[in-house]
Amino acid sequence: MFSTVTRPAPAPAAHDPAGETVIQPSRGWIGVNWGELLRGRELLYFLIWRDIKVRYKQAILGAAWVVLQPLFNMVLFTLVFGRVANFSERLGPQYRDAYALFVFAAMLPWQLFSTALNSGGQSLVAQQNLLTKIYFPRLYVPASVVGGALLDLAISLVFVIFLMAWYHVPPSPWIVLLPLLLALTLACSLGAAFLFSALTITYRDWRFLIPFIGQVWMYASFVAFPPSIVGPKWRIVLALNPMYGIVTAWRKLILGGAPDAITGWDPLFLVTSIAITAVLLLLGLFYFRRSERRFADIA
Amino acid sequence: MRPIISIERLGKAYLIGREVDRHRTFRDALAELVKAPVRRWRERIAPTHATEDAFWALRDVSFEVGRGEVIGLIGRNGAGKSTLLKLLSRITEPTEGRAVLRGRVASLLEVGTGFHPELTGRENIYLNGSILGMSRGEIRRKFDQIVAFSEIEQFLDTPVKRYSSGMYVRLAFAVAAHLEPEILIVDEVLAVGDAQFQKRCLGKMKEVAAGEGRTVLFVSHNMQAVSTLTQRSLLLKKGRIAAAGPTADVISTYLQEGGSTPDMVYCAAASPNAPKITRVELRTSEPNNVQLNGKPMQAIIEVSTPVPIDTARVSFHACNAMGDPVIHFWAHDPEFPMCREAGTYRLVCAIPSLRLYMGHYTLRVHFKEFAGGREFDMVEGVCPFEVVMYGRDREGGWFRGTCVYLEDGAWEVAKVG
Repeated sequence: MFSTVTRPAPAPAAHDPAGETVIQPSRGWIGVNWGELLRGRELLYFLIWRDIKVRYKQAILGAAWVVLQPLFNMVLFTLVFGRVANFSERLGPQYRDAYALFVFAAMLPWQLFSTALNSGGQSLVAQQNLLTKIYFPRLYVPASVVGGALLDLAISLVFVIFLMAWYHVPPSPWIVLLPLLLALTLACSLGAAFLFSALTITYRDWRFLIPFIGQVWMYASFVAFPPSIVGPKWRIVLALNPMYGIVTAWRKLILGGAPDAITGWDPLFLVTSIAITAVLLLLGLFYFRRSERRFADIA
Repeated sequence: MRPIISIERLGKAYLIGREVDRHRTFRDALAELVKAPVRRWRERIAPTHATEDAFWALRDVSFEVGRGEVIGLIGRNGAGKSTLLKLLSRITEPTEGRAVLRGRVASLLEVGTGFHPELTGRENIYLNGSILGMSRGEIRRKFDQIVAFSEIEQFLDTPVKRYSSGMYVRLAFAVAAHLEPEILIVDEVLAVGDAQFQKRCLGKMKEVAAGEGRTVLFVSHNMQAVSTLTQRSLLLKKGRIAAAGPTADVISTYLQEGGSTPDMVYCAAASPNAPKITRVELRTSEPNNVQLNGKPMQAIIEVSTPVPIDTARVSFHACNAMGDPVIHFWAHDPEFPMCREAGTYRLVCAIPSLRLYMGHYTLRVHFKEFAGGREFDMVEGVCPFEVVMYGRDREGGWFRGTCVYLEDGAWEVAKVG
């Protein structure tokens, strides 16, 4: 934020005791004011609520689009990669027919991340009028986009349970760890949203770059096809993509009994994913905080 | 008791020329990455280099505001008023100096910040209230008051994109008026809405300031509002404080400074082919086309003609902000000779006592031939002037839109029953 060093910072919301706000120029890297973020959390809820409310207004199918969008992708990927390219053969006799579930299990984390990257990346530019007219913790802007996408994920999850029942695929007993995996996915998405929103508002080139990056990233995360189509020499490269480890872990939990050759699961990928997610989140947070003081001037 | 707002040498510079702070592209940044170390090294040797292309929107501003005070901020466009408010609202960061605010701050730089057109009035009250810093409980508690103040009960569940602009503004101001900060920062928000609503807003602001002991920092171009609401004011000029003190003094300093700006006088070149209006100018009672109600005013109009005109007629209207003519003056050839031979003529219309009510007006001037009904030239929207009631007191104050015209009248009271 703005370099205001705030001793009990007066949050924009909540009845905090009248604090003292000191406004002065800041230098260098600025820490995150967690207290302020916590006190103003109601505003974050309102921003998420607004995004959700507004998103499907004047759409006849309304909230059904939450499921329909990944569903269309799933059908498309299943036809193109499962049938035409015949990658479904790689899933072995047991999972060959469940290619749709194989794709949808990966769509869950990918949808969240993709929304964070695309809509989250655009969020500051889209909210220029707010940035130049009122102060509130700026981190809420990209965070609210990710928060809205989290609801989509919850709805898609219900759909996945239905698919699992349809294909008679029981989940892994490790499914109890899903909340932890979800937290990792969320951290990775927030990191991307913070970093790319701050980059986009400063350098508008990113508006054009991000959609392309998103496409490449999706292929590099093997959302639509099994990782076994590339040889083991690519393992090091894949390990650098935090979403790859996350996608394989989601598949591992949802496609319970599937062998690792199919899901691509390898604990190594999860470990590197956690490490790189941590770096991405920190980098995103700090780059955001550092450039935040300029937002109103360049918006 | 310590002042609630202390500001010391606050300044904000924008870099022009280099344009580093404007829409940067990635390529610029890469170039900057290479150039920056060289520049920094140069700056170390010759420090003046750095500020060469900086534009100081605000500089060296220091003042203090006591608890419960209402301070007016006045100045021309670009004087730094908005920049100061943006700094104090924490929207942007100062380049130098320091400000300390001791209390909960709410700023209102625009009405309806964060309003979403697709959401209903009810939903927007919650959203906007939250953005302005109210908690959900607080909004729920005040919800009925807000709705009552805005007078939009029946449209509460209609998306605000279907609202008229008046309804939109009323709802937006109603939310803002129910904020309960210790320090309220307000920018020119009273300039919107219809007359009656403006009056209620002014009333509400007064109530907030006086009754509830809140500290208010108030920016306006409307001298009337400033003098009604505040006791003390600051005049900003080119980013610096040019005057500070009792509002009446600061306003008169503001009105007296500077000469007339070009657009206050309309000028056009005479044409060899057609009769033209070549100059329109007002002599108002105060400098800068500010006219006190009830004081004399003069309008000076020059027309030129390359040919004699038989029955020339020059007339003008003063038009209100909506462009509707509210007064009419005319000069007609049969009354006195004009334009009977080619040349330039000056007409001076002296109005002994201008009774127009406070507000902003412009002139519309016609140059016609009465006999043929032909119009040679017409200019409109020229010589903008403001009529103020400043210095003319009445109990309860003056409000915009009460009337368009103030007539003298003598009252007599007798007990008849």
